[in-house]
Amino acid sequence: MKRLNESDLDFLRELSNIGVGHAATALSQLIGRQVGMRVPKVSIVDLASVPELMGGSEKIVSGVYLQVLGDARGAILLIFPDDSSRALISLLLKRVDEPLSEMGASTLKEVGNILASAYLSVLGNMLDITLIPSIPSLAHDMVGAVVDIVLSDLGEIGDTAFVFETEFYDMTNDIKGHFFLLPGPDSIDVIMRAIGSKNG
Amino acid sequence: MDKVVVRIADYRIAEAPATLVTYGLGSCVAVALYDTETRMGGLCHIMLPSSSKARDSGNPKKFADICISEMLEDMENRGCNVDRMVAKIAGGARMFDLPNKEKSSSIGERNRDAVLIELAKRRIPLIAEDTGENYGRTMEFHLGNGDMLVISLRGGTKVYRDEAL
Repeated sequence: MKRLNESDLDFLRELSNIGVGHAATALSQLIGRQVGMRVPKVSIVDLASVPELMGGSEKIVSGVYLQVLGDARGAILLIFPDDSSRALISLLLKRVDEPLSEMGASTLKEVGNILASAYLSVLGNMLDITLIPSIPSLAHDMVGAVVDIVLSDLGEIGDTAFVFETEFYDMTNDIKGHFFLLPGPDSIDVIMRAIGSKNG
Repeated sequence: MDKVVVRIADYRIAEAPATLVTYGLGSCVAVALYDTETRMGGLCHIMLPSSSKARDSGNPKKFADICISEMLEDMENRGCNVDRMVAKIAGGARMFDLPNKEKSSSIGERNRDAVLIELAKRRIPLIAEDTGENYGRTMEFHLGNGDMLVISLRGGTKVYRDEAL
């Protein structure tokens, strides 16, 4: 992997910003509330510290995992704290979902699908590459267990992961989520080449 | 009670009456080794089956093969003997159903299989196992009596006791 300089990182951050902006708009249309987001962090994280970043390994969350297919490979993991995922479901299904039903699970997967698709289509359009999300899959469990899949995928390559992370929230503040994009080993090169050819 | 926390891709060794604990195992596997005479035990939390196929080794303790041998060597340096050891393991779940990965076995299954091979190589008997399925687990290993507690959102707390210990 080519080393990224500060201006490359800025560019990736900006791309991510626009992508997540579209995703937030899509979510806001879905739930009928305004959705805000924080400026995305583009960072290199130590894999072993990810569960702690999310509030401790045993914290219960809903995780929606999608693989990124097409010209660049990678994965998207959306993590909603348990109370946020329930708030999201009750907003969309107009009823309390306790425990998590089949319908509630599909709802969360669909939210993940909409966010990931919005994000990837923006990124793909801007870079002239094809990025397609796989079928989403859901786990409602301890965050340590939920992030394992990503840690193992990335752990075969190294101990640190290049992560695009953002947090979005609705204006009443009872729904929060974390969005992680984890580029596969060769994807950063593909993205940087695409940026290079755009800038001619 | 003395609780020693084992982080992902790491191991810890302690002696009775301490408890070794590791949180939030998904596809990862926790391996507890226990010397029945010294009542000393080790617990490791591995992420990947084998160091041989990896592109970058990085922290080698994420691999089952390396982590188990390092832990074992460390235990033997502290007076344990592999011939008196028993093992209990937990984890190795398949957290997400991945449609296009169905054909291959999941990383959780591969981790479990790699651990079993490492144990078999050293003739360490596996006396309790709580692995597979699709949910996360926290594992506690009580060195006072050799109990393994597996705590999960779905299944509550399960105790794996062996009266012989």
